Amino acid sequence: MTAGMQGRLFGRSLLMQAGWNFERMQSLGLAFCLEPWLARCWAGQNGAARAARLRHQEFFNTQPYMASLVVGMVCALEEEAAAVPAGERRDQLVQRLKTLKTAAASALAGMGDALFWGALRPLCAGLAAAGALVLWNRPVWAAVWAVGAYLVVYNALALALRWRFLRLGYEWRDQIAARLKEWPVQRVIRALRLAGLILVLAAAGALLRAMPLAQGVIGLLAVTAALLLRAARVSAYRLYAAAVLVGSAASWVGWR
Amino acid sequence: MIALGGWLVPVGGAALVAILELDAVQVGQFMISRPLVLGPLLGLLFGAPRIGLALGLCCELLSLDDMPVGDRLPLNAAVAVAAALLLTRCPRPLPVAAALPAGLAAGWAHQRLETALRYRRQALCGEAESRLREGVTPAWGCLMGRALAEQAAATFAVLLVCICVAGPVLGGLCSRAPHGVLAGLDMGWKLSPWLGLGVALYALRVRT
Repeated sequence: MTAGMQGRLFGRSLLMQAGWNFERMQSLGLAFCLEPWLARCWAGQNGAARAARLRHQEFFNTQPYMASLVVGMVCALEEEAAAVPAGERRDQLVQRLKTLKTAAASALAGMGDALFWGALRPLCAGLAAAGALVLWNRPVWAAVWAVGAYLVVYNALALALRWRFLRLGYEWRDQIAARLKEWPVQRVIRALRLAGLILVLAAAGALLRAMPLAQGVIGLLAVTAALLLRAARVSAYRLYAAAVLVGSAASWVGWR
Repeated sequence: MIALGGWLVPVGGAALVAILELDAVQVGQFMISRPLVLGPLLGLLFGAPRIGLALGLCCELLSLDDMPVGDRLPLNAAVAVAAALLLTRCPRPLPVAAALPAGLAAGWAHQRLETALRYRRQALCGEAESRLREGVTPAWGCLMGRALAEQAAATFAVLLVCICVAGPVLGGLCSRAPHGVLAGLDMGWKLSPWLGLGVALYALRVRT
């Protein structure tokens, strides 16, 4: 895979979810992403090219960043299938490709959700929130810069990984699961979450410092209540609605 | 002209948000559409960076563990923060404590609309497949472009309804609302960063 082709696939992979729907989820995005590669692999074999495009119309869904690994793997396996003459061997390779694509997509989805949505994104949000609250009393530009850090830190890591995943998927082929087992993903997730936790506590400290004592105590009670009620699966928006109702009720009974 | 000028800024803002919101799911996921980024960005554009930052912070923290996993579609936090901010910049502006719940309601409305759009998009897959069966390579770019345009139009419509209908109506209601309601909204606004911090702590809990 040339760097130019990798760039085209990478650019198209950014639109993996553009056609997301409940029936086939990311299949439209995957087909769009693979188009230049399929056109190159199956050039001059019209029937086989059509079959290749049709097999990527089937249901497909994974975490959008981890999709780069699957795209890389599919590219390698399509290339392998296109290199053998039509016949039983090619049919076997195509069948293997379809099985591996489905298996990799579901296995990588859980890992990607935990790593990107469950660890990296909250860590960067914690970083920006802590920065914004610590710098709240400075000129507003200082706090806005803290928010800029969210974008820079998150995208520096996420985009670099997405680019690299494309190449790794292509090189690892059907060994993705075995190779990923060698990565300390769970340790990384735990470390990111711990760092995020420290940053959110720093944000809470900054907010507490800016408040009069009584308001700070009420704030800490709200944090504790939110923590406990989230554990009981009460949504954050219901917590907010409850706070509004409590405030109204308190006002009606004359409590200030 | 003055009245029109008053509307141009929020309507232009709605158009900008309609494009930036595509980042949430469909294009890239660069986090530009996260409330903590979008809020201050819009705030800077509309001359209220501190309100944008405060609204962005609250919405970000409240939505932090609302993950778009599988076919789960969370309340649209980008639309929520944008609607709340735009409602504070309308010709008949809402107080920020009232704009936050109105924004969250807009985010919920957008979520319902997006669910319908996701069902509608199934037709694009069928269209692509039938073209392929006819032996023609579909115009993938056009199909994707249609999906993106529909999503952007839906976002713009939700924000336009917010600005043109919900804004004036809620503005009128706020000026006549009993003191207790306003006190409740004020309490919700003051507690929202704390509640958000609790949500963030829960989202980041380290499991062994």
